[in-house]
Amino acid sequence: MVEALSVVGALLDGLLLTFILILHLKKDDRTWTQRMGATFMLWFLLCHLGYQWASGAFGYNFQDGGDFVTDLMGVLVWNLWRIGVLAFFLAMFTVPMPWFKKGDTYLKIFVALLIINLLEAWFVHGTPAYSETGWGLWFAMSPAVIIMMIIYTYIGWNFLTSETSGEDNLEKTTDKAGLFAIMAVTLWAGKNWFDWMGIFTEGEMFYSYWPAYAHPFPLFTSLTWNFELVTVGLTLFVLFIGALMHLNKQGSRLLGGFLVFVLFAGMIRYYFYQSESVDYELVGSILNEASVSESFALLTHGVMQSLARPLIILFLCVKFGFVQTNHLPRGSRAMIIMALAGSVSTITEILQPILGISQLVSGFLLGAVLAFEIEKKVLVAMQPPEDDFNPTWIIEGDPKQLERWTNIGFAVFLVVATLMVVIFTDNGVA
Amino acid sequence: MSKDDTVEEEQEEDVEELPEEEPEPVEEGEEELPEEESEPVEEGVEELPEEESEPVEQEQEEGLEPIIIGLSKPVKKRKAVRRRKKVEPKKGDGELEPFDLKSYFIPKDRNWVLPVFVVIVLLLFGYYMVVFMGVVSETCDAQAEIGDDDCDGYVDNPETSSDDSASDDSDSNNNSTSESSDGDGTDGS
Repeated sequence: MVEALSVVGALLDGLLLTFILILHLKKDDRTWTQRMGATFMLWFLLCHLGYQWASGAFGYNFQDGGDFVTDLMGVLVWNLWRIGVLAFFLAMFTVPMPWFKKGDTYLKIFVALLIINLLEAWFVHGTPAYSETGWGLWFAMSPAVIIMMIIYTYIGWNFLTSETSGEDNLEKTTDKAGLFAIMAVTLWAGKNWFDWMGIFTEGEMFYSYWPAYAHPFPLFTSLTWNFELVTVGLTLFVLFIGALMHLNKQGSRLLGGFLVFVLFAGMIRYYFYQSESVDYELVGSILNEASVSESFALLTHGVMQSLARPLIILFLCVKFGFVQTNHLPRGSRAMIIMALAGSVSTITEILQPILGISQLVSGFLLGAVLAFEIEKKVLVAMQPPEDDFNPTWIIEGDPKQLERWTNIGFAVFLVVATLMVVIFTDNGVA
Repeated sequence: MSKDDTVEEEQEEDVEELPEEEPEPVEEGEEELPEEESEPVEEGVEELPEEESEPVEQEQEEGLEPIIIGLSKPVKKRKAVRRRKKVEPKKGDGELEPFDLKSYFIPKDRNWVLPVFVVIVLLLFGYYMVVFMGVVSETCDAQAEIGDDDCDGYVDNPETSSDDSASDDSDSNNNSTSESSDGDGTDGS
């Protein structure tokens, strides 16, 4: 089951990467912020694909490739992840609405973030600061994730608690930003939302304080490591309250219902997975499997981690017009079918041992998708509305250069940060 | 199928998308051409190349009686027209300067949104800090009782008095951004 998840997730990453890249290269009337959005999403997909690959999705374990390969891949994968974080961090103040009025401001922030991450790569993986305890020194990634999630959560909270919708240009902007923010938070923290009760009881939130005293910078490492976990809980609770208010004012049932469901799913998962009082034999006799905990973990944590992330990227790209699917109508249809088929077959495979559902059911479900052309309805539902508010944001300078320098910056960072550590250090890095 | 039929079919194809229009009034001395209409080219329509009328001319060359003999004035060459594709209005809503961040983050009619959010954050993080410091304190006391005063969360080997924290590889598996930290942290695959 685990293998199926990572393989399907990696395939989706690869297919989406190709699909969105082809569409992104087409010339059309997208605004510069939409093009920037596509750029960020592509970098994230590349990062996620790298992680899936490194976790053995394609049957290759790079740790078997010798020291050099191990070192190289270890640093490369971490640097890909740094870029993944940066992509969403930059998207936060660029895509829904730029928070800057000068292109140079963006570039300065971008370069500063790259330098901080370069230093982190050096101090964590390379000479001179590498040590057994060096792993706790996440002075770039962890704060970036914490800040990013708090701000995204607030933007989502602002959107969910709004009584009105799209009354003026400002509200249209904050509505779009809110939806984008909720999707971003779901992508980053969603897999841990199902663990929230564990975090507050038997998880590592209170009991794992190893970095605090086992590191040259105890307070900092403690705060970054532990506060990152607290932030995961924060996003869920805030958005849950917001979702209740959103449902109360007749907002999107799908969006609000999903957030409410996650909170309760976390409770259910805790009951199955972490509570010691569960009689697994009794549960197993009802649900056809003794190790319900593993399957439940896969259905929640695993699915959110491997499958949901590429699907969220697809949704963001289409919904916010980062790419226009009308360039490739057949390809778009095929992409949706593959996404639905991959998700359905994986979930039915996980459910198979628990509920006794034959995996053949996934074949019938796929048949239903094709017979009723559900994929077309999904694609239409994902498209931006006809009256979509999509202004061209005015900034000083040439906004087209921002995309170019973003690509160059990420690529240079990836090469330099990886080679720097591998060439100039004798220490292992993975 | 006769050649005439062929011509008619092609003509029908040419004007297939045209709305029905009233035929031009036939002036005295003119013969009405059954299938041909000389329409004014209106705005929004484009002219097709003149080769469109080739089949008719070809018939004339092949010896068929020219059907335009006797017309008092030359008939305009038939121009088939096709509607130009409608130009869809651009999706964009024009250019707009970014809103100032204060109005972006703090809605005018809901001043409570930011304060409530800050309160939730402070409550949660504050609760965490209090409990966390309590756990650390308890652990330090417990270690001190057995003579390990470094309070690092790891029990030192009493025989060697060594610091066991460095020999424990758990640190490399416990960082919050690691993909190997299964179940915790906010990222990782």
